Amino acid sequence: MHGISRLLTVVPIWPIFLLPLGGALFYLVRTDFAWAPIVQHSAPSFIFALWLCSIGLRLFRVPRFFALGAVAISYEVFQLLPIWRDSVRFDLLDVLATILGCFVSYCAWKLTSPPTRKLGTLSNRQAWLGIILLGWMATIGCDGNWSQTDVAEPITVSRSEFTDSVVVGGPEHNQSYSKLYEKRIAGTQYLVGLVEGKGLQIINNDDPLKPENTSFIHILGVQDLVIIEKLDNETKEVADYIVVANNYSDLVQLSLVYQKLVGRIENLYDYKDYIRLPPNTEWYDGSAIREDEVAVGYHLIKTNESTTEGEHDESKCRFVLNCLF
Amino acid sequence: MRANAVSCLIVCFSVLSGCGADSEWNNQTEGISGSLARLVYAKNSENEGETAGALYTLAKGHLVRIAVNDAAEFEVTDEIPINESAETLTTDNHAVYVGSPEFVRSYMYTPASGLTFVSESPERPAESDPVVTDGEFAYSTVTEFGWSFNQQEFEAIGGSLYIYAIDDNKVLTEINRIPNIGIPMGLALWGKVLMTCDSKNGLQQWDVSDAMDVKQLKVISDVTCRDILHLGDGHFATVGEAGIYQIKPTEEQTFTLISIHR
Repeated sequence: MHGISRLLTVVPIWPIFLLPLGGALFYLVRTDFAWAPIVQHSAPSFIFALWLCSIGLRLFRVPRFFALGAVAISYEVFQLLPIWRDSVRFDLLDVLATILGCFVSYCAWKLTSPPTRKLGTLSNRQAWLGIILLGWMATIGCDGNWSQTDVAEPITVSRSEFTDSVVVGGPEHNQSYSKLYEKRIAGTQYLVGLVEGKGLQIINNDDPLKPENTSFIHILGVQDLVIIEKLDNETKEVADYIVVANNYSDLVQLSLVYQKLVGRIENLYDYKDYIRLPPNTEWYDGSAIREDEVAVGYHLIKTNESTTEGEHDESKCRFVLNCLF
Repeated sequence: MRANAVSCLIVCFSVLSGCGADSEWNNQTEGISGSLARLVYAKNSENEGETAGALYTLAKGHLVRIAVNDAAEFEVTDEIPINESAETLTTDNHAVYVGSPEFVRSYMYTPASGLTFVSESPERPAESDPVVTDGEFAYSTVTEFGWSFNQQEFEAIGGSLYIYAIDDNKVLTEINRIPNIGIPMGLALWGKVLMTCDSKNGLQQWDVSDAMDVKQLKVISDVTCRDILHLGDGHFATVGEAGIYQIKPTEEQTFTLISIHR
């Protein structure tokens, strides 16, 4: 036991400062693995809580247990304050880190020699470094960002401008498709390729060796569709196919044979249904779409009050900060 | 638990409206295809000469039913509140299955009581579950998504192939799982040949003659795709970043690329 106590007292404090940095670097190089969301939020937070506890262990020698508790609780309180980013959130892993840190500290306090310094003595460089770093992380973000999360506002266009956008045009080549459908019209095989956000490519596939784009139905904002058979009233045979697709907030119906708009249900969808925001981004509470408007995108509102249209990417600096927590 | 959750989704295989061709799952020679769907259509009756039915979609935090009469008249008839995380839909006659990363819920429609909640299975590990079945077994690719800071969008990061046995009561039991098969997306079945799309590694061909011992026969790395359609007699068409690829069988278990089209 004496060996453990000696180890706890002689272990250098500086490697502990590398923990959050290591976590950030790890996340920077590995953004594509399945546990990324957990590592992004909870694991760095866990490491950070332990790290702070470790500062307390070394920093406030008398009595370590209470000093550590004060640091850890302060950290958790900071997390609950609105000035911290949303990703710096209070969760079970933080509690676990705090309990673990307290336990280690308590053991160290019990096992090591009597304290030589008083609680709160900030007499060495480690103390100042820890406090400065904590303050920096708590208050400074890139671009002076004090907000919990980014905030987005919808970009809108007028409904009249929008409804005219569903048109049938000539073929548009070199498209990237996300889904494919097949229908036979008058004995000819057609493929319908969904180009997400743009529309539908109609392809004559009678000769599979040489498919031919025949037309492109522009349906802005389209994400999904179904094709329904329409029967002839007398013969009860398929006379047409009705393409039903979302056109941003509306549901439109188009005749595949006659290639024209045959119906529309307005405002079926809310813009939150079809515009997907990046993580740590929320819709602005006051966002409201007027009846004669349709949302087609979003502004990302920077927290320093400057608004950037179409801004989707976060600065590298803030990203690194995010990783730290 | 997981088998129960996914079985809710898979039991509804008879109408996979999100798939390219209308899925005739009980006709093996026709082949079948499956992909993610958020807008689905269910006929009121499978009788010849009838097309009346209903569209189901997720809108404004609700599951919405839109009655469709002769593909011409559309009328919103029912709305039922649902968790906003819901993102996929499949139907089986009058039952509707709603999937989210957290659950699969089933709803039933009857003219008398309208759309009503039936049950919920809490566990569901992934965001997309395209499904195909030959009536005896069901095959599902489960894709996992994550946020890419480099691309600034959600992207697929991995996935597995699940195989389920279907009993007489259409209850499914997971019997096999092939993990880490790349990034599987849409899939299609032709007899005992299963094709799974992979947007990065290429089209994967599987022999499913023995459901307990599914073998990967080939990876056609030239054909990267997100969705695949079976057009008949082993003729498949795929879509992806590079356009539309069509392949046909030249001999048993061997396919030849016949065209690339953009």
